Amino acid sequence: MLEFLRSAHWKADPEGSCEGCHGPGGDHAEEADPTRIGRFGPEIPAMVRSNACLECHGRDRAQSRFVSSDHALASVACDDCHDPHGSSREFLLRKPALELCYGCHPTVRAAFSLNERHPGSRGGVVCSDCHDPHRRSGRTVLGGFKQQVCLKCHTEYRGPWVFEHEAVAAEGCGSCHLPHGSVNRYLLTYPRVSDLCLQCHPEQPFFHDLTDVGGSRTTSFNDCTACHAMIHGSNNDALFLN
Amino acid sequence: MRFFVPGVLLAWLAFPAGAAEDDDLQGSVELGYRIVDVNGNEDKYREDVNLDDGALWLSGLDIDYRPADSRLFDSLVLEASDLGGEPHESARFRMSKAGRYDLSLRYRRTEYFHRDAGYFLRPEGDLHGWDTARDFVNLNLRIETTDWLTLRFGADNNERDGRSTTSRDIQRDVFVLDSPIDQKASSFWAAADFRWGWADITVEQRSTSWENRWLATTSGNSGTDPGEPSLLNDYRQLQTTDADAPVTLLSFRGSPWERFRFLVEYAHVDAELDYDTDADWDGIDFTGQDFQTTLTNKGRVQRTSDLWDVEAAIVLLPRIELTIDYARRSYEQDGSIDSVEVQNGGAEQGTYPVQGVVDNSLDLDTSGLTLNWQATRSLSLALGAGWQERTADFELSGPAVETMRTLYRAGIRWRPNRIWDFRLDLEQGDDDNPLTPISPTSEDRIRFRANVTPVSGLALSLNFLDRSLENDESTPLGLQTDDTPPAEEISLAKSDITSWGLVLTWSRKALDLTAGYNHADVGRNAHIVYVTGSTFVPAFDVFTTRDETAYVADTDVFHGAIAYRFSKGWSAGARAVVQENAGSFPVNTDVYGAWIRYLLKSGVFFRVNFDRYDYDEDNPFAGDPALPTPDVNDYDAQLLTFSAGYRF
Repeated sequence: MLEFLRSAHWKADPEGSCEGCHGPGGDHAEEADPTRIGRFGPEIPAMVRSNACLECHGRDRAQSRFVSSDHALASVACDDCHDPHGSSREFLLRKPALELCYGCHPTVRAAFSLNERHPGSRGGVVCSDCHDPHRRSGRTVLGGFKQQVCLKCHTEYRGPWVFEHEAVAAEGCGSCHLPHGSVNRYLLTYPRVSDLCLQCHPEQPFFHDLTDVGGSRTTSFNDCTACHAMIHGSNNDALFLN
Repeated sequence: MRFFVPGVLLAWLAFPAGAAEDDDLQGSVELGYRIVDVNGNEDKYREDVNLDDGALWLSGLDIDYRPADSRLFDSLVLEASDLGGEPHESARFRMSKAGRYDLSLRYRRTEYFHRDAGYFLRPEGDLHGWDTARDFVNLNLRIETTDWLTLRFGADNNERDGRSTTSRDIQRDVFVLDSPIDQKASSFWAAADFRWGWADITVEQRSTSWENRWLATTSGNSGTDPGEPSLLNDYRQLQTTDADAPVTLLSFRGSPWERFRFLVEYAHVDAELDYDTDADWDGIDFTGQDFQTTLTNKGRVQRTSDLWDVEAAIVLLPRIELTIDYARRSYEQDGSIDSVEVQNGGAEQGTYPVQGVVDNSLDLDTSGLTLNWQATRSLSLALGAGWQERTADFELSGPAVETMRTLYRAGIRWRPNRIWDFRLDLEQGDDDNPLTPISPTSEDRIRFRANVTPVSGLALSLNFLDRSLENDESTPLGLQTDDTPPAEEISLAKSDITSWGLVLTWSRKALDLTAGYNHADVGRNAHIVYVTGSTFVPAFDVFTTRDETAYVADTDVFHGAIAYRFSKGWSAGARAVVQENAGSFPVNTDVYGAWIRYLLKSGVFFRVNFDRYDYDEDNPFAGDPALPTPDVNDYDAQLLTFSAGYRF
């Protein structure tokens, strides 16, 4: 109760705060019957619980598409993550942001436990900096411009480039990188750069010696980015050499 | 950091002369000192952990102030962590008055270090290295002027600086170049949200710009290949890029009837980038002759992007909702190049001009249907289907490619009571003409999760995920040339991930416990025919090698944390994250930590932390004289941190 009196919900409407979400409470007060008022909790369908919040918040652009989000379709309601009665955390979150997301996404937690992980995970970056929990994920909407999320911080790769790397433009950064964590350097999908590049570029000029020695290619031509250093895009060279 | 200081001052000024008795003021402040002992590869330690010896000037600050009666604000929050030289600093300031305004300022600094000495799959090491930092500042102000108009203003600033090394192929040798980093991006925006009966309208105008001053230099550099006589006496390349991209957003949404709501959004972006490259270098070429080269290049890239989103949702029955959506993402760009490279002397003496315009475009049209059915109080179902037409037209890659992707999905959640909770999600997708050889022609995903909460505070969750991507008929973008072998010979690319795990959480009055295990099997391979002797004219190819890029990872991750409060004063805890990875790149990492804290009645507290990081690569070729790659990256680090603070 004390937290509620500190919350923005109370401050915004101290006269009608409780009934604003729980509905008319006259019968409940007179008969002291807990079933005679709008209730929340896991036994109440998520759609019903969220609709109470979306009465007001659904008009904000940020939450306007929540009902079609992956969370809503998985029956995750607003109050599963937010405590409408108040929390000392930003956005009335029930738990610290990372812990909250890890609760339902343990495989992501495991990815962030790998030896190579997105460095932002140690420095104040939370899941919602990249993912919008109130909308459908990029995967389920078949992706848009998939690299846009990464380019918010990695501005050096924004371009636009005269010579674009088509894989990046068409399929996004995730075609080569695993953004949460990977066993491999640069969060790559393969530990050896040439293995990654050869998947799309099997044709090599005659001076590229990719001889396999004892199961491990050892020539410098296995490090494609040693020469193709501008692999994300270039304004000087179509082969990303400069 | 300089942006954080005004925030602190603002917070200080916002306080009344002193917090009144009825005011609600909570918070804490913490400072400390750390001792670090690293054995092994200190560069790899910096890559992974990067925590240094020395004072921790402000490891934690937390102020949450809510005055009982203030006309200025009813909530003021100031949080900061690891300020003063730590690799990841963050701070947040927020001041608001419900129904009036909301002001927030966020600051982050993230250091990044990379210097790879090499490992068995890259024994020569990585020529590229970074020792950089990114600073992010974000300001947001929301003013609720009337019931029908809300104004929003904001600014972002993102700067990156530091040192790096890059590499360049010159005269048949590869040279490592020093490349200081100097990048900046910023944006400002103003928006108005109108509320009119059942309709909401948002108009937002954003000004975005970014610039990059890219410099690469070296001198007296004999290159990385001792077999090549090439030498660079001096090399200097300066490339500057400046880009502006105004963004206009319009959003119209509403719910004219109780059972129907809609949204229409449109965003238009006009990005324009000007670049200017100026380079000169001289030395000895691959034939042993002196040479001097200059390169100038100047041009512009213009990109126009249009983004449409339309969504309509209708409640068919009280607990059945149907959503229909359409999205369009498209861009067109013209990039011009006007380059000339002039080499005086040497075997490749001559003038090499490149002039022209490169046009690219990408269009994505996506339509979808989603049905959400709350069948009973405990059972819900979701069904969805999406279709995406993609047209990619990259001028240097041949004719435009058109593809059609589909994705079907279904989800079910059954929560029979407060104890049990089950979820199952299925997805199946197809692409009739993948854009790259690793774009999937088919994808399948299944995820199952079960949670049991036998008593309040105790929960056990089980999860299983299997995702399979496969490309079995590649007609890849970028390989549409006459010299390309038949598509079906290029690749059969597969990527499979199977993961399962368990997590136990137990929270009682004095105890918080989390323990988890996750196992992941990852397999990727692409059957390829790579033409190592390609002359780009198949009849003259020297030889063809059949190969496979194969990657396997078999990863176990154990993680756990426990915290226990022995008394009002004493509390302690421990944590562990253990990763064991077998497969193509065997590597193990162990992270252990323990802490103890004593809190005095006055609110003063003392804490001691001990942490240990152990990184261990397992080189399968160790000891093989033909592959002399020692385990140069392993390290073992121990950290002891003393801190003291005050909680109020």
